[in-house]
Amino acid sequence: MHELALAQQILHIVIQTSQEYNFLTVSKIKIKAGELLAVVPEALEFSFKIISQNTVAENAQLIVQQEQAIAQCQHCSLEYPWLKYGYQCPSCKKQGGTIIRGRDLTIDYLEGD
Amino acid sequence: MQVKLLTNILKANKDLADTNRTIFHKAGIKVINLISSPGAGKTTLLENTIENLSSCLSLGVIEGDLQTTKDGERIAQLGVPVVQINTQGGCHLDANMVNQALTELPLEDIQLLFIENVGNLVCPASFALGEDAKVVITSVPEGSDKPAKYPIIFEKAQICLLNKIDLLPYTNFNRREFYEDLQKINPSLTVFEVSVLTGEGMGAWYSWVKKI
Repeated sequence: MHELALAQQILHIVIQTSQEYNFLTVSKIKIKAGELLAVVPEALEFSFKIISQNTVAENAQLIVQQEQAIAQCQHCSLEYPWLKYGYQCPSCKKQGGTIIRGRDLTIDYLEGD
Repeated sequence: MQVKLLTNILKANKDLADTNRTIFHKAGIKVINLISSPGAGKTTLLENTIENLSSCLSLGVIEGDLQTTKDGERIAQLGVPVVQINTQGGCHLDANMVNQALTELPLEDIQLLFIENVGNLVCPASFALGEDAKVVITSVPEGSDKPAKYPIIFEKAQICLLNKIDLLPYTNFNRREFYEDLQKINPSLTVFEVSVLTGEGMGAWYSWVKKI
């Protein structure tokens, strides 16, 4: 259940940004969640709904887009899903791939008035 | 109106973890973040490690639990400075909690600090604390499929302790599956097979701790 802690971080950033842009309400928040963070979208949405009550974001729709963890082979440059193949390239079978996507949790954008 | 942010949500934690790291570095303290599911043997591992190493290293401990000071009391009995953090339901320690706990530790007297995270294989993996190494502990009765099921912490750890190997004959733990999965997830992970209870295999762990 680290979703609650993540929701608190999100709310903090959303409130800060709303003040910067003088938003009275926030209607939409788009989140990109890397697979390596093991975020459960429903749990994040639920946590955010609870803690955003009585804030500028209380009616905001939180959209969570999961981002697959992608590794890249150092030998043949193939990009492949890390969770399925780990560090071994499924094509040339060499070890030593590096994870290039899926480690981050970011707020992509927010919409408000 | 749409505002494009691309803000890293974990940045606040990462920044504080960097602050902690600077504090540790200046004080000359090495830090190990111990992560496992509940009951894998973190606190017993700590007790035995303290008993074995406190004559050659000055140690300190930060204990993380949802509730109670039971673990903190166990460690305090060994005469080591310890701070207990209760997360009040939170499933992991974060850099801010550790930062606050540091004010209660005699940093100048500590060479090696163990942070015992909240028992959980998922969330602690995402929150850096300022540690030099993450050590994941898994135990034979939990089953050999834990790396495959919870790959993230095994990917981030430097050391894996496979604990309770004295129970191997009584379980269906599949060593081959365990190592094959680990090889896929983190080929550079060092595994120590140990029984904290009987002391088997603990020498390799102590040697690694002394060298960190």
